[in-house]
Amino acid sequence: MFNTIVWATDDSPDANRALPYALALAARDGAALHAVHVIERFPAGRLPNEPVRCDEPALDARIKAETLRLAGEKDLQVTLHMPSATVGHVAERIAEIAQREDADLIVVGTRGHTAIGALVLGSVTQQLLRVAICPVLTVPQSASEIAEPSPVTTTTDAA
Amino acid sequence: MFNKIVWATDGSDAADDALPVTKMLAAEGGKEVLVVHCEELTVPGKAAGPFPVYANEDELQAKIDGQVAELSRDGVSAHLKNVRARVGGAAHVIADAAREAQADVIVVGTRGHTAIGGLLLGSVTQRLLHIAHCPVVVVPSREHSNND
Repeated sequence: MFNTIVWATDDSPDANRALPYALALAARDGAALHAVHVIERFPAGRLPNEPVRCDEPALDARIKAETLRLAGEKDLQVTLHMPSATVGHVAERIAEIAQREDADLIVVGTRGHTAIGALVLGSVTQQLLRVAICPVLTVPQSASEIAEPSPVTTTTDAA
Repeated sequence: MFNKIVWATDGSDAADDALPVTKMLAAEGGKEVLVVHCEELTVPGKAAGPFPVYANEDELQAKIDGQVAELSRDGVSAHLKNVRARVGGAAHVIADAAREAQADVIVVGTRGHTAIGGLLLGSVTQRLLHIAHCPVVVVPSREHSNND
């Protein structure tokens, strides 16, 4: 039984592909779901504390709306966290929140917005696997068809 | 959602740490767990053919047999698949076994026997994340958790 599940999101297609897994496990076990979006900010310099992404406000709004929708539509306990971190420290912040909330599982896509061409595993996910103290479920792009948001599965596997 | 779960093990303590999570994922009835035990073999040298990399391979196999029996006692439909790979090929063999079994998820430890000091993410796990067709759950070792 999972009691507390963290879904790390940057509203990228990969993060959204990971969501059905977080939802299905949370619904199955009655676990609390924590959506975590870390706002990456520039350190001191010309743009001190400015978000790295110029569309950050729009992104934040979309994530807030999505979390609200989840909290309403599903019979789930959903909490949204939107902390800031300086560039390159996103994974540590996700891991911190997971630890603080005593999470059993962190669910992520294999990479987020900052995907670089041939890199299958994004730097945030890669880093998260090093710093997280709880299991991390990584969802690859190829898993897209498998994960339908069907919280209650009563499939009898004939195989 | 997770009807067929692969737990990949090389008999290491780090792999054992992933077993409770495998059970958690299989919490519902009717789930199937395929235990994939990958034995790594040395590259054939001058004198002889390939040998198991780990001298205590027999002991490891006995432990894994026991773990499969334990899963079955817990009401999980558990099967064991022993596979062999040349050094460096374990991730591919595990990914192939998972694909063939049409697994929904693979559960692994952060690293197995071949942990190199300071590297928290083992090469097999790292590679598996790149080639697996399905989600992968990476379970940190207890040792790592306690250090934090």
